Amino acid sequence: MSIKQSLIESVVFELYKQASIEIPPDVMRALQKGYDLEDSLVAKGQFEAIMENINIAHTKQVGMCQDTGVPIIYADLGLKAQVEGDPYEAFTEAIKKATTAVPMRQNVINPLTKKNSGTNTGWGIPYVHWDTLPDKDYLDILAVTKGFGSEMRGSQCWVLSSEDVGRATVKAVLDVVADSMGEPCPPVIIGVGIGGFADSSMSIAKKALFRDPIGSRNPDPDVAALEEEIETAVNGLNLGPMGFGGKTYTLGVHAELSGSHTAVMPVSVIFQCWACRYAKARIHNDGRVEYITHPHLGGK
Amino acid sequence: MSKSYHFTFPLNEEQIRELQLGDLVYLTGNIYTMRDMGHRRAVDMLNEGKELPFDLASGAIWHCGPIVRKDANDKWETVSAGSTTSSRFTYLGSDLIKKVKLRATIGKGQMLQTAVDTMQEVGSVFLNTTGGTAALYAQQIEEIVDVHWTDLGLPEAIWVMRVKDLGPLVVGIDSHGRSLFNDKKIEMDQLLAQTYKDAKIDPTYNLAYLPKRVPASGTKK
Ligand code: SF4
Repeated sequence: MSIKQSLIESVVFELYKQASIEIPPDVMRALQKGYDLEDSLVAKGQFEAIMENINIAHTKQVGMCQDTGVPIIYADLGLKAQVEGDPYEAFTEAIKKATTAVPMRQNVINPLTKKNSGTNTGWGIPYVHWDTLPDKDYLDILAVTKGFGSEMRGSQCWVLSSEDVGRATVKAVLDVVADSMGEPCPPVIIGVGIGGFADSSMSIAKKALFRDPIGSRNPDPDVAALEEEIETAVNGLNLGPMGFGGKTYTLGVHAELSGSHTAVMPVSVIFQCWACRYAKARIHNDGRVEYITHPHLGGK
Repeated sequence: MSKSYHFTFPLNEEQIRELQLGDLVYLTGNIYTMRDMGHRRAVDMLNEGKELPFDLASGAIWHCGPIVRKDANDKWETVSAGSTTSSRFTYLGSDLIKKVKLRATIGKGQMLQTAVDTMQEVGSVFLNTTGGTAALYAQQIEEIVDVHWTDLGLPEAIWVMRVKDLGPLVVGIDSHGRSLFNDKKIEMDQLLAQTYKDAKIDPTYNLAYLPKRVPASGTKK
């Protein structure tokens, strides 16, 4: 028994199709909740346009946003599972196929020559985060494609350990929000990485964006208290959907903490726009596939 | 109270000057998508005294890179089309507005002060869409009429689209020096000051050690 390259490819293709077209159900619930909370016509109107758009994308089976992003994959491999073939090749082929079949916009270029590969792959894309799951016999794949309106507002600062890092974190997020306003297409999810290194800090912030369900709290009570405080503070700025004014700028603040250096530590902030394009599946060693974020679609 | 306007291209200065911040606009006619590389090429060409291969001034610029595909007759069709972040085009966009007397720019988020000043001077407006609702706007696009500069990659190409009642678009910058996001910023800054106070954060105290630019002191000895 093993997980075959061809199976990985067909599952990842399905995931990118789901991600580009269908919003995860918990995001839809969060949007509905945001709509219900608003009392101004302007804010309600923005939510209405977003929810109508989601329905049109579903009915017509087209990308919900034109910026279908840049593909990132989080792959967690159970150490009791066995993979046959080259999973990276499977990811790459699935994305190439999804680019023409879904279709997804051809976004990936070489940053210096600006040549567009036309396939959303190449020069290290898809970017894959590998992790291991001891004692498990499956492969978890979270396929993400993230637009850059929210990505380019990602920010990192360094805080001395002589400072109150909690206060610094609150200020970092507020400053990034105040600078971004409507640009990352709010309502957004805000990922925060407290500590770690330059790369790992942003990595944990980004992965936190895909926490299931949206708005749930970090199990560490100190971190959870900061999440709660930041969420209230950010929504209190009356920026609302698209920054035109309203109560819901963020659908959830998800913070993660990582051990860091005794001198100074990074605090990283990143947004995920309302158009959450991600989908997750579990491939068992016996070939069974479970679709986790979009169970209602069933896959194959 | 905001008003609603249905305009068919070409737009004239009188129509544009009538629009006030927050008014709703629906547009009919040909619009031109333009992103970073398209702006760069257009401005470079005009600076070199060359003519653009399309008549921008007859329509509007849309900060958009659509998803497109060929239909059964090998003709391009729009799958999804929505706005990209407009602040990126503040400077090159302002150049274009001046050079071709462009009357309308469609996008999301904001264009910064230089654009506000340029629009006031020329008689031009910035129209806000809802960001990301690209399946919705695709329904308002009747046809892809033409495409230019596909060598820049499909997202960066200039797609000439015939739209019908594209909207509602919100006047985000009018031709009287006013900007929705600037007004919003003024309001937000007050709330922010109170929020810092409540959170026991001194807004003038820079909690972040980096990034910061420390200028050299004195002269080289
Ligand atoms: S920020 Fe998100 S919703 Fe907005 S245009 Fe970009 S990808 Fe689409």
